[in-house]
Amino acid sequence: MRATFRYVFLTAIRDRFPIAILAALIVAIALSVLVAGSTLSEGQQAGLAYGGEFIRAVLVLGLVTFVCFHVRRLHDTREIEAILTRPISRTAFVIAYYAAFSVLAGLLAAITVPMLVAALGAHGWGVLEWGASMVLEVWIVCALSLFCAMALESATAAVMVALGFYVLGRTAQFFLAIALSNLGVSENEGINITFRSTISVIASIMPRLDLFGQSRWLVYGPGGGWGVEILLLQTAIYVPLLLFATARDLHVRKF
Amino acid sequence: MSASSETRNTLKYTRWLWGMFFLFLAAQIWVSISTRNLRVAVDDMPSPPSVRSLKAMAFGDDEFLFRYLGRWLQFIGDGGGRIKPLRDYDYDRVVYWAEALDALDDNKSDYIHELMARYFGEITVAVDPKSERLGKVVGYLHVVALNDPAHFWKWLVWVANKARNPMRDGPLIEAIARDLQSPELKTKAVPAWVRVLPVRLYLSIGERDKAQAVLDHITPEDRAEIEAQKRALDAAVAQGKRLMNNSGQPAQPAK
Repeated sequence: MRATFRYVFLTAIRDRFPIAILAALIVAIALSVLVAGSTLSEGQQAGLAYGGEFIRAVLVLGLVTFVCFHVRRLHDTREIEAILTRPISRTAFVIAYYAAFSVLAGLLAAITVPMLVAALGAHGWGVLEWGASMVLEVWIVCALSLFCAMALESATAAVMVALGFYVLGRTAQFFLAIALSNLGVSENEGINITFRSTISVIASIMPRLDLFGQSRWLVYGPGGGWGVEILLLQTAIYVPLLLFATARDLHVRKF
Repeated sequence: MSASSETRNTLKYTRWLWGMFFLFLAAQIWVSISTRNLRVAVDDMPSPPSVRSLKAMAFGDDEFLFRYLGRWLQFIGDGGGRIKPLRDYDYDRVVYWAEALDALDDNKSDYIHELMARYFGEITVAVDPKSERLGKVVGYLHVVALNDPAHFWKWLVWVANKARNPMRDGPLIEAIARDLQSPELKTKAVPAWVRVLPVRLYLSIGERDKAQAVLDHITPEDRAEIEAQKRALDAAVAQGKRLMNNSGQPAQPAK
């Protein structure tokens, strides 16, 4: 397990992933500072809101791309078969692999807090709450990307599906709100009921990613109806769910 | 084929490639020069979307969308080296956008209010002789200030100034004078001179009795604060100190 953990770290460094993400984060923060300078007032608040969202985009896009392509290359070069010949169960392999990705992602997400403090003057509990929620969000993203990359045959398809799932996770509750508001999409009530039920099922399955990484915390501090506890609960449920699905997929796969 | 003829062919092919490269480079320069007069279309201000649409666009992060659209509202109409005059804006739309964005931020930020006052509210009498456009900004900021007078009292003062000049709107001046006597403004966070401002407003519309009534009801604390401010002002003037910096902000005391 430790060897797998080390392997992921070494390959990440070999692929210059941490350096690339750090460079992208610096560019994201520089862009936020630039935008902040162009606002009529409340430049710092604007910079923090932009910084928070740009950082989130860099981390999510970077991690989804890296994890998906990393895992698919593992299959293409048959390295996965070599690894699984060792005395390690497929479930242990999935857990070790995920643990390595999540530690790497968690470190990269945690680094953004001092970056925001230094470059944009973020302060107080709000930035810590935002940082903690980013760590939890990238853990879900890692599990999601790992699942997609293991289940699908193509890296590109895995990236697309993982990003689609992520976007749905951030918008599903909005669609649910529309469905529950009894706004009809059609004159036919049967179609409306089917639409509402479908949206309701999708929203129930999706993680509440829209609750994570609120820029509001960076600007106004903690608050707004929910805190890290609910995000922790969401992560504690969704990460194992995805890992069990990944392990199950790997178990039935023939090499 | 001999070695020398092969070298000749390679050389010939390389020359041909260079030739094609420079040919297309020249074509690119020609296109670039001939399209210099073409300007990118400048965005016009659309009608603001519904609250539901804004929520969908926010992907769960309302604060980021608020900051993004706030900056967009600041620059809308300008671009490609052109600036759209204030007289060409549809002020009804501007106010709708401001209200929609305020709702996105739960009316916490002052950014949109600053933008409305310091940009859209700076329309001159020359292009808005009946103060029709200015009146819409004044109406918006009046409502903003009344929603939370203790927090946004400065917009009551701004509205009062515009109502006196250039609008010369007696009923509005009287209404603002009444609003400035609201119990919500009787806190330490609001300077005493704001509570005395109705005196000037009533005098400007010839209501001497009402002005006297306000003067009669000044609390001893407010009287002491105003007298202390007057003494400090007199001393500063006597010493020839600058009261304001170039940005119109109170000058920092000399170190």
